[in-house]
Amino acid sequence: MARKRPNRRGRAVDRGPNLTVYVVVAVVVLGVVAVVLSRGGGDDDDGGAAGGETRAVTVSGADTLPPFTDPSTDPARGAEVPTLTGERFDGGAITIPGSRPAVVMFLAHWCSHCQAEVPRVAAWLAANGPPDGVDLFAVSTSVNRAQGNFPPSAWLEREGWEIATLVDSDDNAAATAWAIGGFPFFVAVNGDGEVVARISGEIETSTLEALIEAARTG
Amino acid sequence: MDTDTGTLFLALLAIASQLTILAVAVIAIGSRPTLRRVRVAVGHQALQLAFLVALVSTLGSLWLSESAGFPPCRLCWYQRIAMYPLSVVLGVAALRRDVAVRVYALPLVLIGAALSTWHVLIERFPSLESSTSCEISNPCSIRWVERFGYLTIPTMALTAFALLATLLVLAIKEDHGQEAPEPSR
Repeated sequence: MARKRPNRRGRAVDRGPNLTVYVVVAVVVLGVVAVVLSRGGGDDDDGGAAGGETRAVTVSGADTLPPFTDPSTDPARGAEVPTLTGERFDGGAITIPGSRPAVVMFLAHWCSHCQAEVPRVAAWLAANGPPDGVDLFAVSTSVNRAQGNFPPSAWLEREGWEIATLVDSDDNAAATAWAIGGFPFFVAVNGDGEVVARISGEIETSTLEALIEAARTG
Repeated sequence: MDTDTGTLFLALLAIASQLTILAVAVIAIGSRPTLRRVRVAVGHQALQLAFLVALVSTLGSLWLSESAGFPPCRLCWYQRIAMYPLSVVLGVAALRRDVAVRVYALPLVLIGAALSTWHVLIERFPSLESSTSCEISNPCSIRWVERFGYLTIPTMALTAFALLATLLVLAIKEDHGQEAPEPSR
């Protein structure tokens, strides 16, 4: 498919094959290949965007917490947290907080900082055991099958996660009610169900211990 | 087109583009005469091909956000700012056979490539974007698509910018072609 076209001097110029046509044909062929390969992959479109890794969550009691800004001036400090009632990944019932002080961690499976935090906390828990008088909870939220490290249930199991974990809803009702400000997000709650401290971002185990102590002492 | 098929299609296009860039790079390093022959063969059509690349990239980007439902993050928008005008500018240049468009297009291409490179780094090392936490709303470190273990959306964008740069460098003026022999009588 060589093309000849006169140049400015009026002589025929060999412009070579019409690559544009070949490229368009190649693009179409790749489109067909993509369709064929995708059909071969089977239908895995169950569970919507969250891929079945969310559960219904009931939010009751107090109003939604104020938005998180800065830990030192957090307007949620002293406010009563809404009660979160739902399920764990294994279907068991869970309510956050319980009757005791608690530290609650909000985790997103796709978040690299959560992926770094979870083994750190798991190792700390394995070494130290559950803290006296304080419950540790986690919330798996913002689930999206299109993002990395999915599904969260497999991730947490792989990491040996022993902390009771609430599975958030499709619309992230738990995270919204507690007005989290990033991932991972930690909330220390005293025995009266009031916020003692909120922290956004990865923390060291020494900070986790300080949060536990803050929840205990209220 | 469903999301799975669409992202696979874009990934296959990216791989084909990468192989093309690699082939041109190898030729450029290994054999100058061969590179000259490639320029003669491709150079006259390089603007048309560059227009096709920019057009497919623009449409692919719009499909990813408007149909597949992957919201563009901040860096995605910056790359769009570099790519979208190219589909218009290179289209006009291809019609007018105006190789001088390189002066206007290459800076956009290089800026886009730099942004894509930074975005790829943030995907691989999210701590570059934020020191300790992930944003709640659509951080740039989210990999909405990952095909063949490495082809994410910014990786595909970087490939498109690199292919555009390659084609713009190969583009030659209309009368710089190899003159064909006169037809025998």
